[in-house]
Amino acid sequence: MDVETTNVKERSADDLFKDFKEVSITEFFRKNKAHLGYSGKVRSLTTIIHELVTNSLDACEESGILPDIEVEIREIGSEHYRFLERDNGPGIPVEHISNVFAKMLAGTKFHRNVQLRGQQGIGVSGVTMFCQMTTGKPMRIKTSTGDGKVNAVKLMIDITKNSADIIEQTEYSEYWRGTEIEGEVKSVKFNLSDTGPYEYLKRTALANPHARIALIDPEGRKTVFERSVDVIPRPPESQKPHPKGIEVDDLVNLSKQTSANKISSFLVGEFSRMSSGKVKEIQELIGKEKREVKGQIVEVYKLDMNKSPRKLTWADCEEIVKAIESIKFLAPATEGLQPIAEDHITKAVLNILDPEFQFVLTRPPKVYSGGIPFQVEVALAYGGHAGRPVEGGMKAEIMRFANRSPLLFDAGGCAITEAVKDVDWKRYGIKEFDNSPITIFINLISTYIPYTSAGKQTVANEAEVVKEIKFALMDVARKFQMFYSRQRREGEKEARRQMLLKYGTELAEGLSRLSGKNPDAKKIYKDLTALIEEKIKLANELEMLEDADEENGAAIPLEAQADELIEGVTEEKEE
Amino acid sequence: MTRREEVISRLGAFGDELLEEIRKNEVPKMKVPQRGLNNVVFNPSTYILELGDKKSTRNYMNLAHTKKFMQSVLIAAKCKELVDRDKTASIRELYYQLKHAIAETKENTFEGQDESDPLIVDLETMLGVLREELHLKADDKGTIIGKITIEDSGDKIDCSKLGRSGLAIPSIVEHYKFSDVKADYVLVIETAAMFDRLVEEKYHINNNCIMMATKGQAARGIRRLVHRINTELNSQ
Repeated sequence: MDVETTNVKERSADDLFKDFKEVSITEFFRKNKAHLGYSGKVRSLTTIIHELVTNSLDACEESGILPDIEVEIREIGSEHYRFLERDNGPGIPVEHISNVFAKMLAGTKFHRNVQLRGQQGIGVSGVTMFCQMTTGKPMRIKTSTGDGKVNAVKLMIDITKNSADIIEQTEYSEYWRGTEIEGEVKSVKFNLSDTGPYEYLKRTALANPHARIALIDPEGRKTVFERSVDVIPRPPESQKPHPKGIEVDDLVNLSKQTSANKISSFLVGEFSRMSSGKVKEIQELIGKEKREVKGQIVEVYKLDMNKSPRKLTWADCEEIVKAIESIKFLAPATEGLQPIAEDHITKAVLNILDPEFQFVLTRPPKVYSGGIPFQVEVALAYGGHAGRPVEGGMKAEIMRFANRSPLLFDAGGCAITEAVKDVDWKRYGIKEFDNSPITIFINLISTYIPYTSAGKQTVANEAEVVKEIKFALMDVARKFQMFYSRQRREGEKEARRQMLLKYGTELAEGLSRLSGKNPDAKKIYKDLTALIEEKIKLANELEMLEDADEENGAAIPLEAQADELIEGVTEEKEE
Repeated sequence: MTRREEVISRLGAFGDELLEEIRKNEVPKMKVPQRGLNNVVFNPSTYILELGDKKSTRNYMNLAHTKKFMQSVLIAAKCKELVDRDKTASIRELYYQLKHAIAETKENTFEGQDESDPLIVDLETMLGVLREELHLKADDKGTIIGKITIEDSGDKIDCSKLGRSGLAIPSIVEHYKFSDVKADYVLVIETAAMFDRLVEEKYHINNNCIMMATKGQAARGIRRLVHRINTELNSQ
């Protein structure tokens, strides 16, 4: 070994950097495609649909249009598909087409502190990229803003320049508004599993009751998730960041961009819940230092809040952030949060899952990690199309959403899944939760969803968030229990009635033969039926009394009395 | 009133009572003597185990009883028909005659003979009549061999002249008349195999005894026959 070290030649810096070159955008994409949702054959196709649909929904909402989205997926070879997505959105101005479809890390909502579905800035360009990588075919886009001019563009991404390579562009006259995107992709797979495009669209429709979403699948089947409500959600507002969520790097960047003249007005102006009083507190916390002014040693504040914010150094910003950590601020405003709302979820659930019963709850906004507002919405649907059909029965289904966007993958490590599993469903009368026809719907709303990774499919285990989800679930579970036990009792009563009547015909005939007086069997049956109905009615009345007492807080076990009344005095004992 | 007329009238009264309850809008009930060990009394004068006074109520409105209640009535009605026509059926026949699908269901009135057999006993104890008086009989069970002659319906059967098989014991032995009993004792054997073995060895001839095989738990016919031989022939 010692011998070998002598063989190493010294290399100059120039020599070393000979191999240093810019990473191409394709390479970046290929290396990071798992993070961007392009891993696995089913998942990749779902991601494509997700990117397109998300873009359409966001565009429609921002321009006040009720979204009408159609997706068509056709199989044209082995693991080779052609997809088409069409919306009735505002259309894309021709000069922006290339940016939307062929420039990575460009977008309208990157760097906005606002609750929107997508945030990566990869979006549709990622779709173009993935299709190009797997088939070498361009994307075809037809879009019109409704002015009678339709722009049809065929484009690819010029990977060396990270910009659009427009292959063909035509303009023709036709009167419609919206965008139609068509592309070809390989190495993907369509199926109806709970991670496939069908499930994605179904859940998207559930969380977006104002949208009408249609899918034509490779088998040619058309499924339409009809619009449940005609109200477009209020577009979420951009929010000033809350001081508790700020990092040194952000602060430095903001200080370079601000138009404020003083640090104090910069802080008050750029952050929510920041007042001049709080600025003073920050100054106090950073502390004083002795400084020589005109030959005299005086004690002054280390940080002069009247200075220009552009003069803030990294060290200054570090001090500010440190000070903020120990100061109390009002919780952030929650206007930026946009829940779906209970009545809208209810309508969507009824429309799409058509359950026997459902309970929906939107909790008031809360804060996690000291300053990030969030809100939880849950729904529990039972029976009907709720749950997931599996061989030999039904399975419970957990639908996770973040800002209305379905989370289909990596359910295992998600805090939402954990919260659902943590609830003791047996306490709420659901004996076998996993094997019940139940759909649990959970929408986590926040300006910043705490994802565990860049894949944005799993929510991190933030204590406040998990607690809030559990509370919401327990609340709907309690309501479910009350309803379900009543329902079950009704069922049992009916079964009892049926059984008494079922054996009634035989009993009547037997008695007619047994009696020495030769009575008519039909007459006996009539009397017997009247008797049964009366006793059941009596038992119901007793039960209602009992229910009333229960609701008044006085639980008197009248059930025993009811039993006695129907069942006679003594029980038959087995030998 | 003959015993037969008495049985018919008791069966009819049983049905009429239930009908009266239904007519009066009351829950129809039947009171069945309990047959558990806690309701069995030994009567030293007759040398017989008898049932006590404890009764349980079978109530049509109690879902646990509903089907049994209906089945009991069907059995009673069938027995009344048998007695009326002076015909006898085995308990297995009774089960098959009553078994049918309940209207508009896939359910049968009886799913097995194990459902009807205990209800026959219920009926006997409830009405205070014997199974035979209801014109029901069980299959022959058990064998008797040895120096005893039994007179049955005019025929005299010598149980020592029946080869190795002996005489099969029917469920009704009340009409038997005994004669020519020449035995020191009666040996009752539970298993058929042991009985056959002892017959093969001519044990009953060598030891001058009557042998009976119960073939498992003794059926009523065997028990009553043992009881009769014990009480009627012991003094001889």
